[in-house]
Amino acid sequence: MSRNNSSKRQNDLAAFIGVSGPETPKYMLANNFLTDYFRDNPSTSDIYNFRLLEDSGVLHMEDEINHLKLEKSFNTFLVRYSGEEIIKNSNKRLDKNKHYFFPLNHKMLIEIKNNYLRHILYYLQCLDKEHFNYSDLQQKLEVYIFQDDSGINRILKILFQNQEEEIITLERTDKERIDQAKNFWSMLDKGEHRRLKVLGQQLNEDLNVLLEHEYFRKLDFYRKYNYLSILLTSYIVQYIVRRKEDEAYMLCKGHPSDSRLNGMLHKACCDNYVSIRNIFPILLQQYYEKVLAQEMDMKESLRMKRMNGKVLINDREFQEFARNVMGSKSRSEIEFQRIVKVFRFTEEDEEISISAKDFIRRYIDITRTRGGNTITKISSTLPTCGKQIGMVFPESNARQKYFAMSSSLTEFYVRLYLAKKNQKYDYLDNFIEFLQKRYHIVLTKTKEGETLLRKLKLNITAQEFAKNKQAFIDTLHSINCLVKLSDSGYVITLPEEKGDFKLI
Amino acid sequence: MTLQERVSKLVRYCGQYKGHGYMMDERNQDSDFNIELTEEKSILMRIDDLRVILMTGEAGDGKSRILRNINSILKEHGFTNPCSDFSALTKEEKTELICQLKEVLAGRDTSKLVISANVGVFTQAILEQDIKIMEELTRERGDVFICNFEDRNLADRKEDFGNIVRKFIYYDEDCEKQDCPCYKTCVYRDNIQKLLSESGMEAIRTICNAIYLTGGHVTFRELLSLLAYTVTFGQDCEDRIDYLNGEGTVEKKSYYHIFDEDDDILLSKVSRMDPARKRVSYPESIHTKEEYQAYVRKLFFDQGQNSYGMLAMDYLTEFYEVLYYMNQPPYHYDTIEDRKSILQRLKRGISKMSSRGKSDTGLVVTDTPAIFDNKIRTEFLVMQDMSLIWHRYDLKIKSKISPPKRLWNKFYLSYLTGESEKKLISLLIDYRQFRFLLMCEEDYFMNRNESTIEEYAVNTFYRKILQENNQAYDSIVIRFDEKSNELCDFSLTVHNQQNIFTGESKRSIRIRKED
Repeated sequence: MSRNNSSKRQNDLAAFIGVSGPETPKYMLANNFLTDYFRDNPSTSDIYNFRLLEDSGVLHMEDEINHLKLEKSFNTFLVRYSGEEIIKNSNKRLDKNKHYFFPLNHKMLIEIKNNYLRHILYYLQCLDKEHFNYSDLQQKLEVYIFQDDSGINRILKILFQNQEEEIITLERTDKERIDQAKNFWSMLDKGEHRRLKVLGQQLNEDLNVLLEHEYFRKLDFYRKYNYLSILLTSYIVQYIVRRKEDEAYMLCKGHPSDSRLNGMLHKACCDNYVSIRNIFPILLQQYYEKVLAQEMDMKESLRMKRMNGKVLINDREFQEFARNVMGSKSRSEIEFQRIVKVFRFTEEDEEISISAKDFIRRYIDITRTRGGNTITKISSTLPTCGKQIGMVFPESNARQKYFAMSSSLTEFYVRLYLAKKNQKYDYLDNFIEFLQKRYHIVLTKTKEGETLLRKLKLNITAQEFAKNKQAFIDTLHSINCLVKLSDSGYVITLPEEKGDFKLI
Repeated sequence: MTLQERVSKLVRYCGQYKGHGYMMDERNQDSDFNIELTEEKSILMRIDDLRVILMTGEAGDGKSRILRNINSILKEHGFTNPCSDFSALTKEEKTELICQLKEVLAGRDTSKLVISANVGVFTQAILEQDIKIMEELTRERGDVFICNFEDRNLADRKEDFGNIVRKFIYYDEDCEKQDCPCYKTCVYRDNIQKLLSESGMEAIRTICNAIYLTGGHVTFRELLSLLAYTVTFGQDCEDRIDYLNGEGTVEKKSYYHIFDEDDDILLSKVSRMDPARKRVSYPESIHTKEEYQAYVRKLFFDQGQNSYGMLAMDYLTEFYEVLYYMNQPPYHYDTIEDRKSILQRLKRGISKMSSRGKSDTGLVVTDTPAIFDNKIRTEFLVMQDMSLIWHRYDLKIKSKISPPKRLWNKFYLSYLTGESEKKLISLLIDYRQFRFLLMCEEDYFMNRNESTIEEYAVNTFYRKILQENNQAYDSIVIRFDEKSNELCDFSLTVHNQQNIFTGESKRSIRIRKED
């Protein structure tokens, strides 16, 4: 049973946590999301280039002298504007021989099928049984993504006219969806279920705004697709935060790299990030408790014995126990010396008794440092998704990470906020309050921020928060989303509306 | 009033003199000095028609003073007790007042309201209630008077400005204290006389105008403080005598030292414009830096009119020239037909910025989606002869063009669009934007890696125009940032084919190498 069983355990573990690994790049996350609504193209071997388009009669050239140069130039352009290059570069694990694209047309919609758990957002939507209208959203997505021929997409649509296929929408009955969601979220306790249901509802609301409001709908394909990807990826981050607890907030820097924000604020942001990321080891502990409970009464202790260069657990060899009970997938065995050290064996033939909870804690400790293990992979969901949308910094592999508002993410939230309110502008403080209430993003001194800091045992002065707000104001200013009214009064608006902006 | 009395009054207006708080208290009790501001006159002229008077601005703009001056008249005309500080109201009181304002605007409440507020706080309160109130307020109704003092420029009108200066620093009798060490050599007197002279007054007005033109705002209180400081440098007669008895020199307290560096916010703005920061020709008799500074600064104060060019602010003269031009009939100018050289330069700057120097014929707009870097750019030709208009800031489409009431510190570049209903797509050009575009014109810099806010504004403007001209996307030029022998820039153009025999139509793309 070992390999199949351990693989099943891995999936169980991923199902318990909700994610199985980083959903990168954000464009593939969006593509996978779309495949919950439209049938995808199973082929990953299709390629699009100069020859194909010339042969199909949609691309003409009269300049024979420069034929080769033009062909190469066109292919360089196409590989970038079809999204192939950007998707490949941002996910090194993708097979180099497979081809993935932006869904410029229906045929270019290809799912990454590594793991069915990648469709978490769809299941999140299904939690909102009362409001989620599958076919309605399907129609809106079709208009938003596939029926666009604005901007640069106008020419690309003509180039791909012979590659177009009829859009095949998927059909899912209400019962089917409810059952799928029930099955997917079976690991949640009541409190978690309630929180995620609210999140699912929020996702559906935001999606409807994004797909319907002119602030998004009137943009060209690339901008629309980018915003959809940001929204979806941001909800993976939101999922992790909400899964943690009701009062989990992200203390965010107002600018990713502003030197004014060093010191205590920086430390608080880093500590806050760690506290959010710690959800994964906690969930892992809970998962192992559940697994172990199937093997034994959790009130009982485990008997561990060191004997002949091996460690036995309840008379079973440690490695075998790790594989078949704990679901370890790693091919390499855990080093004997490491086991001895972590479980504090001092001499040969020593026998110890250890509680189940303590055993799990130490077991996680042993496996934590192993490269490519499950928890490392799953935990990386937060930094990779965060980096993709410009919310987790620094972008390097530095250990101390923190949440911050990049200009692109800020612009997205401004657009979404104003679209939700159907206004051309609003007061900055209202926007900051909205970010905190709806997305648990803390930027200024608030009650929630204070609670958060108390938990982290940090003391941030009002001046430091004021600097953070100022940095956020600078970020908004740099993307042309800010209008200054007075020394303390600011209004946010869309970059394209700012030129015409007039108030009192 | 004697010179000494005037000095002792003036010095209290200096932020530097015994603390700012003292100065503010003193101001409120100064009954000798009162100026009827333009805004006050406007309210009184329209008082019979008004139902709402809203004054917004910073502390020190003179809102309370106006309210005090016209309080009895307001009462006579049935206005409720003025709300003289909206910020000081509790949240509930603010909500109540805004609700009442809404009812008054809708005609359901017959009260007449006067509100004085910080524009930020007031906007916030309105946005929390109902954004439509803001739309109603800014609709230019006959029964609503709105004055945003932060947009006001006290130095705009020469006559009004002169009136303030004269009333504020004038004295009747000279000082007769013969035992004073400054007797006959009093610098206060010299400073006042300089400021009251045609050239001196114009120099101070130029400084205030320059602050406004470059996006700043001088409040009424700040103007008085600046004038008081230019005369006294924060010293009364006693302080001055102590100062001179020490190591102080009279020269250091002459009006032109207003350009010396200082921590005060307003004075630091003035010092940044110091004419001595610019290199000008000077007489051979000048040997030291101090002598040079004194020479150039005095020259500025002696110059009188048109001295913007002497201030150390890039392109300020040019900016002023354009704003002045925008205030001349017909107040709007076609970008192709108009031959004003500075506007031609501005147009070249926009062209160089938007098409990165590739073309100066027609309008080429780079519209590369943000998800790609700029290594491969996509450019679109909006149209060959696109008609844009430079125009005065306060012109509105379909409304009667009236002569300017003032000189604004910004203007627009607009594109007229819409078939059934015409609308303008506009780029606001303030000093920062203007300066950036002229720097582009002179090829000073081109930041290729990230967009500056000024670049962002221009790109947004053109992208909006592009969206109005869908056919612009029928042709793209693809440009590679890094040139190599293997790649070349090329264009893709939509080609519509129609089979004349079958009537079938087909669209394809033509590819062509570009230079």
